[in-house]
Amino acid sequence: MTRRACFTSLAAVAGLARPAAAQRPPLHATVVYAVGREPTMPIPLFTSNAEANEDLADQLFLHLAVFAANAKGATDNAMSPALAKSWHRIDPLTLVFDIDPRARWHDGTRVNAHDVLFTWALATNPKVATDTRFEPIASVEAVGDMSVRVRFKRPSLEQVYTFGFLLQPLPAHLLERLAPETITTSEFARHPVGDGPFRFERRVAGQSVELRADTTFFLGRPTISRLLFRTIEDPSARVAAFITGETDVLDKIPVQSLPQVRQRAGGRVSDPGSNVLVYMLFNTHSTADSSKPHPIFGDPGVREALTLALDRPTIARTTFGPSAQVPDAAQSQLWSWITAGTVTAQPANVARARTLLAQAGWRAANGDSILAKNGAPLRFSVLYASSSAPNNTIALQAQQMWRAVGVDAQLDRLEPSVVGKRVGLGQFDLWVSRVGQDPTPSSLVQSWSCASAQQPGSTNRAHWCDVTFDRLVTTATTAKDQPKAWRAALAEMAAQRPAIFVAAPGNPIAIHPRFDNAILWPSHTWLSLWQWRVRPSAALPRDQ
Amino acid sequence: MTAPGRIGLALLLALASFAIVGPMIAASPVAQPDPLNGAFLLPSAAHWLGTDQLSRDIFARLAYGARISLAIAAIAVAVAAMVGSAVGLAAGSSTGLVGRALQRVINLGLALPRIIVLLVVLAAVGRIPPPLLGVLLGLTGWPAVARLVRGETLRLAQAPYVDAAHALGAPPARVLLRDIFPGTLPALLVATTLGVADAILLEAGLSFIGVGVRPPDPSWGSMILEARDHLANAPWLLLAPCVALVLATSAATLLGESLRRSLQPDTR
Amino acid sequence: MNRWLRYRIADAIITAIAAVIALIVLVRLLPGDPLTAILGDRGADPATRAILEARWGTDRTLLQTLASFFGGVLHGDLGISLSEQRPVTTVLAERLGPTLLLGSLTLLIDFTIGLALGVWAALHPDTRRARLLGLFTLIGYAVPSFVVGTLLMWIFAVKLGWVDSGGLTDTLLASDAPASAVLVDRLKHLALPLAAMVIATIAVPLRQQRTAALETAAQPWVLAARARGVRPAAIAWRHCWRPALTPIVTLFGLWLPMLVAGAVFVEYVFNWPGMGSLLAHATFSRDFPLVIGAGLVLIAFVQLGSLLADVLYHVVDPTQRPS
Repeated sequence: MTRRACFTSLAAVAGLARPAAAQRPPLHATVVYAVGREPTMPIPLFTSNAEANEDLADQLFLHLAVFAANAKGATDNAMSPALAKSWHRIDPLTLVFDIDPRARWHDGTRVNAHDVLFTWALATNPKVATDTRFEPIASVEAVGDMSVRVRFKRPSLEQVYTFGFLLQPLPAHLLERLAPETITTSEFARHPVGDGPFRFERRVAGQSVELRADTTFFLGRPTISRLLFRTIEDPSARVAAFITGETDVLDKIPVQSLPQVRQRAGGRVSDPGSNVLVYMLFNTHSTADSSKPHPIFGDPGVREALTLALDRPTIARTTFGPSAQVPDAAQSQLWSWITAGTVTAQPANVARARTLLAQAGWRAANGDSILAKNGAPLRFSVLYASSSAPNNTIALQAQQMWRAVGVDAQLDRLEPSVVGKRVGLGQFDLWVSRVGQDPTPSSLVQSWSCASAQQPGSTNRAHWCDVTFDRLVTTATTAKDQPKAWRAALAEMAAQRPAIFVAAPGNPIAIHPRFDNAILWPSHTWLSLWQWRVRPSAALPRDQ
Repeated sequence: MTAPGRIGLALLLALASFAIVGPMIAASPVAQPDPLNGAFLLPSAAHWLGTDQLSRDIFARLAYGARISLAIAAIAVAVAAMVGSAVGLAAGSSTGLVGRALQRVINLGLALPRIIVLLVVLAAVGRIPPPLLGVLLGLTGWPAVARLVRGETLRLAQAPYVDAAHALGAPPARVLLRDIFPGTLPALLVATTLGVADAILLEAGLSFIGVGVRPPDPSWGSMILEARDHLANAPWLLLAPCVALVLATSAATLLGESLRRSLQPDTR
Repeated sequence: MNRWLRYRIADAIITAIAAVIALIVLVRLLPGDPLTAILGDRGADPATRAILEARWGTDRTLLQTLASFFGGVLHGDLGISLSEQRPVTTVLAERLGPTLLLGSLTLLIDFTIGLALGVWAALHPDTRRARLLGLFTLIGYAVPSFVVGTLLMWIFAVKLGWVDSGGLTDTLLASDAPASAVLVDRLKHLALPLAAMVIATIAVPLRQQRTAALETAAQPWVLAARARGVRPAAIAWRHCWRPALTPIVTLFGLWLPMLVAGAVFVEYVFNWPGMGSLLAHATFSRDFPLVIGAGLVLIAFVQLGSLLADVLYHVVDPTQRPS
């Protein structure tokens, strides 16, 4: 199986690989990784969207298909086999996946088509989960013991991804006798049994989760024998633990700690690119009556003025460091292939911002530095979760830059659950949001389509609906020239300005110098961790 | 007053004048002249204490922070003293049902851990102006004062001069306000002065975990919170707010202990 | 005395119940809901929400919540933690151990070394060393514990590398490691949080003891003892320390709850898996059952502390009979 990371991390690996050193790996190569929130439920379909849970689940449970080397997007030819040894197409609406006959659950049972069917039933059980990404799938059925046939509702270029990557099969023989809603409180949730390169060893509450290599793993014996997920909530304590050598990898490195961390890692800081997108969402509807437009943001000219008044590159770099880029639409670095490898935005233009505000009727009134219209000041609140330091840096800088053009932004730094509730009820003006984007831009329909605007509880929080954008996205999902088609869709979004897109940060990750073959992925970063190697000459006591 | 007490009083007065005068001569505490190149500057003529991660002037933030932190502490102890002494006096003077009921209320207040109440309330309401934060700290701090005042009231009710007042036919309410209440004042003053230190530290702690004073307003606690992220590359950012915090809390503690010695030589 | 004690215990229990009810009411009145906190950005449709609300009991009215909570308490059941999906009692039990370890060692050091230093300072009132001690303890008290903790971590763990930067133990330590290695590991993890806690708290008993000892030292009976030629050490012990015990006992009772919730900030900095960090985490994720469960434990310790202080108070000072 050939998997490679994209671009930068590959270069880093190639430069450091030492063929002679990798002959005899030490017996217990160990990777210690610190996460900010404790992974308490690393079961696919039950991860409740916490990053650490998903990362851990990726080590325990295989996807049927994963991304091939240098994959751009998630089209069918960008996928490569994993739990499925192959797949073939019957017609534009039907795919058949063949499960690798060597695959075993960690208790020794064979993985078979029934497991896939069982998991599919769970994934579509409203008592368990509702994932709109499975919407294009019409039906799933077994063909013999080791194959499943998947029918789709309409043709698309991403059918392998939609079923093969998004679904991580669970062991039917262990879960079938449980009522679906009791799985999270069952013994299985305490001690999951998977089919991935690592098996669950133990969880020490509040401290760590330990995984051990499955030495009989059918895709090859893992060259890392132990993987420890340590919980360290405090970001600066996470940095400290990496510098003292207590942990081996460090991601989400605070900007100001980068030089120190780089020094400790002996230059081993690679950036596989990131799927993170940070933006300030406009509520275009009135907070008092959602059928009416928002008194300030209902006007597209004002939205443009507020965007142009911000020096977004400065905000992005002071907050996320030099590798941060700025987009004009919902595009993280993961999707930079759409725009020839870099994400770019319109520069700030304070003069134009002032003109636009004046045109919209917001003028300086009786010596006050804050603009006003019909006696009402140009004042709104910026809502953001208190849990994230970057949110605060962004909001503070934006507030000052707006103040310079006569806009009064009040900062509402609230606890995450209160922010979530307020956003869900439409009780916000501007919301600083951070999302991790899916590998494919076709996932934009989840948060930016007219259909999702109608659907209660969807992530289209501002109920944004633009028919032209919807049409362009639909075209793009089957277009020959993928970059061009998606460029058109993103350009339409940029023109409509549903949000101020603040940053597409990079994802610098520091790795202890003793590792070779340290491949990182732009999303699902640690998928290849089991293939990392420790140079025997540099092994630490914990590798022995 | 003892020498440490005089030092404490002088320090408190100095800090209070700093909180009043400082902001008048300082730059803006929120302006960010140049976040990319003007951050983490060392002290200079332009920035007496240097600049922080967003190029804001630290002296200005310290001065405005003094105003906010000290005001919150003052409001907190004032509210706690007022509510606490009212409830304490009433509970101590009435021996009947009212008195017992009030004592239950005081006990209930003491039984509810202050940190939980503050965490739950502040985490939920989020945006809270500094004066209201002070009031909230006071409203969670009054039971301790009430217990103290109730004890003093009970003690003074036995005092001969109170008996004399009753014998002279003074109405009970008058005795309570004119004779007993002034007697509780020394203990109240001591507790309040010592409470200032606690209130300052509590505000700093709450701002530290991000539920206290709201940005961009500076408070000493939120300055420490932000500076802590930069301990690796700019440790001096921690110095100014920490020194201010130490001076204020030590001053209040020294003054309080000294007052106790001179006002209540017989207790403790 | 027995009757008084029984009355006092009943009083403590009633107060604790009232406090728990007040806490539940407070938690329910405030905005923010656990489902949003748990589901995160992805959200869920209204039907799924309704199912989850019913399963987790977040759709109950206040009275139903109270009834089911106290019904559960009688069976030793505090409900299921929403964020952990495990019984609250299990989660609390895991966290209580580390917290008690840190808290009890802090109290032990505060009330032995702290008191001894207080007496020492009182016996040498005007020496430079006593003044230095006074200054240090004042600064230790005034600098917030999270700052002390962070500084200690960067100096002793990052710069010097003497100890570990956080956590309770090295979970990679082999299970068959020799006892000495286990002990060294424990100490390496305990040293910094304990130091931070002690530095932040020791000033109070120390200064209180010093003041009390100074005051009793001026009493006629001490002067008389000194005139009789009693050894200074005996004076310090018998005449100065004993009478100063009452306020110390009161302080001890007040501080007993610190065993379980005194280290919120220090636990956060050192990633110590205790009740303090659990409490903060539970509040922020709107995990109502866990907040209330942790609150219950804390309230119980408050009552236990004041009960213990009252009892000790009578032991120390038999003239103070209860009314």
